[in-house]
Amino acid sequence: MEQVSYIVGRESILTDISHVFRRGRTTIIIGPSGCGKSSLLKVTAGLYPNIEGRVLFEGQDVSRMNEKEYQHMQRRTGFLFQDGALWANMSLYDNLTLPVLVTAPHISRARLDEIVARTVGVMNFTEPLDQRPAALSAGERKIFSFLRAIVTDPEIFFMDEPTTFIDRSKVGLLKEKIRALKEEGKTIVGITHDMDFARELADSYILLSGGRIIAAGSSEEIMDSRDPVVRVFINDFIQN
Amino acid sequence: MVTAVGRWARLKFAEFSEAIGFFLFLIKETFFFIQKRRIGLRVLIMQIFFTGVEALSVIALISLGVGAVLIVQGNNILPLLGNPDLLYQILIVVIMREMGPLVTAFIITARSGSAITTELGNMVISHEMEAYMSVGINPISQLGVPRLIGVTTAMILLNVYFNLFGLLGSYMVAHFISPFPFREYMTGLVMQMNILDVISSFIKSFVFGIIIAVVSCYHGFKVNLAVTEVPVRTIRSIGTSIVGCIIADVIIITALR
Repeated sequence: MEQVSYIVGRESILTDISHVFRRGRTTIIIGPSGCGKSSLLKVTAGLYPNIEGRVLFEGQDVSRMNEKEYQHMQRRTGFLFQDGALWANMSLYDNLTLPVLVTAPHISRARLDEIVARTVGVMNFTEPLDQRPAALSAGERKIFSFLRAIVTDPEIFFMDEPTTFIDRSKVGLLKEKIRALKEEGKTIVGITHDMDFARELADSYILLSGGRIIAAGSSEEIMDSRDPVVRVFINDFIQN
Repeated sequence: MVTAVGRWARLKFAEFSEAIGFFLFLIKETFFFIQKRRIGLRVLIMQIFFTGVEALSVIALISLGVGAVLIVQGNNILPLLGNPDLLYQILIVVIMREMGPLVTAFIITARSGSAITTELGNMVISHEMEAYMSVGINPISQLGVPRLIGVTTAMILLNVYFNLFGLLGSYMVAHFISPFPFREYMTGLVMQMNILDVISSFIKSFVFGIIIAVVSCYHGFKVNLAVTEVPVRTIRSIGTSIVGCIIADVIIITALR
């Protein structure tokens, strides 16, 4: 992304952000609450079209993509939202199959059922799929949001606080699945307050404060940095 | 002062341009709806059901009441004026051309328009719109187009229903109060009705349906971050829809005079 700023009303959420996300790498965005981490993640995923600057996906400006190009890009990504963001008016089955139908509108029902069975099996999800998301707990909704994000086997995985709301018994399994995505060579961009997990996953970090990038680089570069501001960040967030 | 007025005018112009852009996009997407989106069909059916079927009882009650009052009062007053046949013309103009489309539009605005704005606004707040975008679906196409088609279709059907109840059902109510031969009533009605009455009623219900759907969706999608924006946008959407329908009504009346 090049010189990206994101303004809501009169408030500047992100200011002059430039960064390159490498294919097959895991980048973790770190910063205090309200610093714009989720906004940066969504801008990166092309979910906020009204921004200043440019977000480039394989060299192509996302804001200038036509509908087909935009759809093609989004079909290659999966997004785990912080609050799940499941479609409340649809059944769980429809929540899971809609992304597949967008990719393959003429897919057979049998094949669709097969994909659904395989996907829910990833997290041992056993709740009935004919119910609405409101019937699930916050943790279950989050797990289901993860399943929706991976149902199309995306190349790029965005995750916003993947482990919050989820009970301990499931957190381990979810982390294991995210680790597996990394091992498969997926590109991962994420936010997490679980610093042990962040250290384990991260190939590189973006340190964000007040909507600006304070520092960005590989894990080694960030950890070895002598910049006093970066050291404070490392002490406050990464090593604590 | 001048600067403030200028800023206000600029802001209003920008908002108006944005609304026009939204309207044009929605219309363009509507043309591609059937061929592109089998996944939006369920939303369309639900919208027609919610807007149309669930409003039937209210519409029936109002149209019966209005029609019955017109017949009873007309039967009392018009013979005194020496022109009892004027009743049919009054019935057609008031029920079919004016009150049918307008009252139906107001009921749909209050019931379905407000519900659409609230629902879409809440979906923005809960990030469901972003979830649509994340799987490559334009939320305006996915959610706006079925609502536009659904509300417009329901508006046209409810207007026909209002006219039927207003013109025929109300006869039965009036008949109990002061007996009146049905054949005479029907002949008088058909003789006075012309094609322009039917066209006018249809055009109005079609245009009002589009206005209500576009305004309700626009305000729903305009919700930004806070839950408190939802009721504000809903109130604005109701006000704008009613004003829009009245302005359109005046324009259509003038054009078809």
